[in-house]
Amino acid sequence: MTMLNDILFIVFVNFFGIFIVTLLINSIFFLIKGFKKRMTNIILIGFGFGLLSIGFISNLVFNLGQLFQEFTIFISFVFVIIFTTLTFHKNRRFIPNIILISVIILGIVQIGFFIYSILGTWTLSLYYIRVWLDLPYTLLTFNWLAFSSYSSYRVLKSQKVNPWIKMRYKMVAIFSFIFGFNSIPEFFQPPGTSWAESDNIVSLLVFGITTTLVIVFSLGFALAWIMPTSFKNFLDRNYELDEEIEYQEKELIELIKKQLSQKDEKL
Amino acid sequence: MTIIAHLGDKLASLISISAPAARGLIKLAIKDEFGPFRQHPQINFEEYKSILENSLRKRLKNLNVPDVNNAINQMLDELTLKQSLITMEAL
Repeated sequence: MTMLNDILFIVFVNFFGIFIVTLLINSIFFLIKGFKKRMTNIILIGFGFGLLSIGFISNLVFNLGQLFQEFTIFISFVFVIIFTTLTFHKNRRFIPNIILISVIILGIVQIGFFIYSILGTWTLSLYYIRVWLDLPYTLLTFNWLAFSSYSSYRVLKSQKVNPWIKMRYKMVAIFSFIFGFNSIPEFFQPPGTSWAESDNIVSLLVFGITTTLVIVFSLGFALAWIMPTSFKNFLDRNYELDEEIEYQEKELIELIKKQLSQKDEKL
Repeated sequence: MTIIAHLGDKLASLISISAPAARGLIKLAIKDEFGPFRQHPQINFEEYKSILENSLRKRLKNLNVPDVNNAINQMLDELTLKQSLITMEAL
């Protein structure tokens, strides 16, 4: 059993390592593209993913503690919500604002729990209250992104849009949806054990399920955004582009006038 | 180009002109707003909005298109509905 535990532990730690590295790659990609194309939403998600990976590294590698990690998670979740609003919901204010405010409140509550766990007396009931509140925090952040991407995909799925773009919508929706559930395994963490305890199989499995969910998200999200040209071309293999006619300005205005007068004649 | 194509198709159906001509008119409106050197992937949602509300409106008025306000409002709705294409096709 101990050997199996050790093997599982190494596998899951590697999963977690790949997750953090992939997040960092995503972050760098978004930051480079965002600054190059002057896109605020892309810059924000780049910072968000970067902070998330810095938070994990600082806690797990440099032992800066869970409070610092929770703070970086909070900032990155807020950036993900703002990214979703700026990408999918400009000119729509009410629901995006409600979601943003809810996530900020839930994030502050999570930070409050971590501060209390350091300063006060931590109990099992408090642990479960924290975990129960962590669920809507993560669900709202990532399922709002999933829902927004899926809703936009539904609008565009029967319209003339390159298949690789439609695939990006689907991938963002699916992988964000999956990530939204990564706090559920926390409910099954055995009392009195720490996270990823290698000599406790349940704790190890909780860690394993969490790392599997996050690695699926990070790799899927990376493929959705850093999509290789060969993959785009493969998806677009049966897609026919509309014929583009380049007009001179004078020629175009004359053509439109003619088409408008033909319409008037028909009326 | 996808967002321009969709806005062009919408404009074509609103004022009954061909889709290539409508796309051309939107490209002219972009040129009016930002000059000839601004490339489409560098245009964001607010700038598209401003293109529709200012230069496209002027272009449609000069062409004596009836009920320009209604056409522009419908174009703005189309832009809001499909705004995510600006990001999704940019990377």
